[in-house]
Amino acid sequence: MMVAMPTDVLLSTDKLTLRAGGTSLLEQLDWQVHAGEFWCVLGKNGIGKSTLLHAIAGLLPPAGGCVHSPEGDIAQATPRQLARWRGLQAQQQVDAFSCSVLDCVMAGLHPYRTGWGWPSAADREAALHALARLGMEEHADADVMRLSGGERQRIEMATLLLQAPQLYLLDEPASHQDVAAQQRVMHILRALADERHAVVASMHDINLAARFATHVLLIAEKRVWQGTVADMLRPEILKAVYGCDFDIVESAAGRWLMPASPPAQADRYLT
Amino acid sequence: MRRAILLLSFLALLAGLALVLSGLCGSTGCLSLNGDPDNIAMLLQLRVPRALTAFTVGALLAMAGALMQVLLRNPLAEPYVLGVSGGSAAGALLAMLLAASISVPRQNIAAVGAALGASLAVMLLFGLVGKSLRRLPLSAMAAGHRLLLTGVMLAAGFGAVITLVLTLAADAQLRGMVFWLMGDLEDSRFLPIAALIALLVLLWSMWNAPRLNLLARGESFAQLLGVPVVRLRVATLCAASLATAAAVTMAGTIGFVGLVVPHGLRLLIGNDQRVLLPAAALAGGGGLALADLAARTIVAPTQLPVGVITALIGVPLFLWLLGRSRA
Repeated sequence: MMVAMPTDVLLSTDKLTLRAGGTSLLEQLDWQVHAGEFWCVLGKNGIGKSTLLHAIAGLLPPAGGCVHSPEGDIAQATPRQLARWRGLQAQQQVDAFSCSVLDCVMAGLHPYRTGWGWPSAADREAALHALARLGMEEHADADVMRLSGGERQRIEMATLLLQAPQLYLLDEPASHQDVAAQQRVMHILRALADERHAVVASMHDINLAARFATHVLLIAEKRVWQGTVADMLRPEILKAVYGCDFDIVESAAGRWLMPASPPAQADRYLT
Repeated sequence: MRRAILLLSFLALLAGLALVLSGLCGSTGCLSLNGDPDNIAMLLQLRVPRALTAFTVGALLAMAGALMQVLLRNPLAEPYVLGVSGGSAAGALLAMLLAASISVPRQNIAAVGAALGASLAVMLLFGLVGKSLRRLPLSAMAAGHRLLLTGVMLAAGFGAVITLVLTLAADAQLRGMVFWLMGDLEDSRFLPIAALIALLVLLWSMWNAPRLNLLARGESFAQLLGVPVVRLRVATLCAASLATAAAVTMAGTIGFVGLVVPHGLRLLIGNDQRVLLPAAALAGGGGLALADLAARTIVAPTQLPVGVITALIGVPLFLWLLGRSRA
């Protein structure tokens, strides 16, 4: 019997080693992301979640090892080839110039454009559709510099939806969002994964990850855990990652992981 | 797209009118095209070349300013901010100082000195920030700061050289030097070269305008959407420096055009580089041609330095634009 080629591997890392400044962040990470998977990257602040996303996106050359897209090592790919394979939503957006939200979102079409890129009616339609998915269609004519942080982040996500890569990378997509918007954002990411794309998002909210993701990558100082949500989101692993205890709260809506603050520390801040 | 074509046609019409007006009129009044050989000689030898020089210098400065603002992602950047003009001014004044001791004609040597000074400034700039230009800045905040601070420091250094030369110069030379610093559009010998450079910079920026639009939104953002950012930034810096050096070599340091024209246009027509860059060339050229016309005619026969006019018109105009914008 012929062995089927694993054509649905959208991202694989081969002994990927990352450093920032002098400190080592990740050592020899072997990791594969398949179509249809939604990975959440969890870990403490400064542990290397953003650095990992930047390295996968090709913005940052790794200290060792390599990152593969289905076409091969990304170090050999042109920026335009990469732009059709992956998109990254950065943690923060800093605007220097005014720009209308609609024009801003249509930048996502750049990897597919040849020539001067005057938008067609269909482009506008697509941008409006992406904005509507994020509940931002009323802001289409607004100036991006006048939006709130959460709204600005959703504009960035609409841009990413228009870019429509195979692999969606998002750096804390839920961090600036209100509770309802968090649900909306996570629903969209899960839908993208269900449409045979792959999603990798760094997160701080374990329960959001537990509800929407299929897999998690947990980064601690000495080691990394990777696997399905059910296997990995367990109190003992989480304690090793975050250094605090977790209680499991069962509810009708499902299982909640609740961080337990050590009483001594809580007292210190209360009195 | 229709709006862009209409807007650019309108600006081209205005710029053409400014050019015709500035070509026909001067300190002795306006000339009529009646076929008088004296009139034609005056037109072809004095006024038309001067008007074209003003137009070219204005276009170069405005384009350099627009490119610099995108490169540094700072709407307050201008062509002189990175020290290219300081370098060429220092070079020109040093050359004038040397020329006095070996008696060479002042005009020629000043231009050569200016060109050499500008290239020295660009080389210094690349030498000092080349490494950070080749790396992609991950934090959008800090991206242009290194380049900007290095340029400001270079400009300060050249400023000191200029002061030193002015101190050392003989009284007879001082007036010529000060006038060179204020900028004058009398010398049109470099017009063909400068016009060629202006055309090349315009073509280059129009070709790259979609990518510059993304660069204005952020270095990483542009790279993520498929723009080769490192190459584009180096090329943008080269284009802006070349335009600045050409303008300063030809006409000295005429202030304000490079800051006010692109920024004012951005407040009026938005920040789409596909429209903004050609519009800046037209408005900068037409604007400086008109400013030069005013400088020649307001207190004729005395000619005012054109830099005074650009500042006198530019300051209130800019403040008014800033006041009516929403941001």
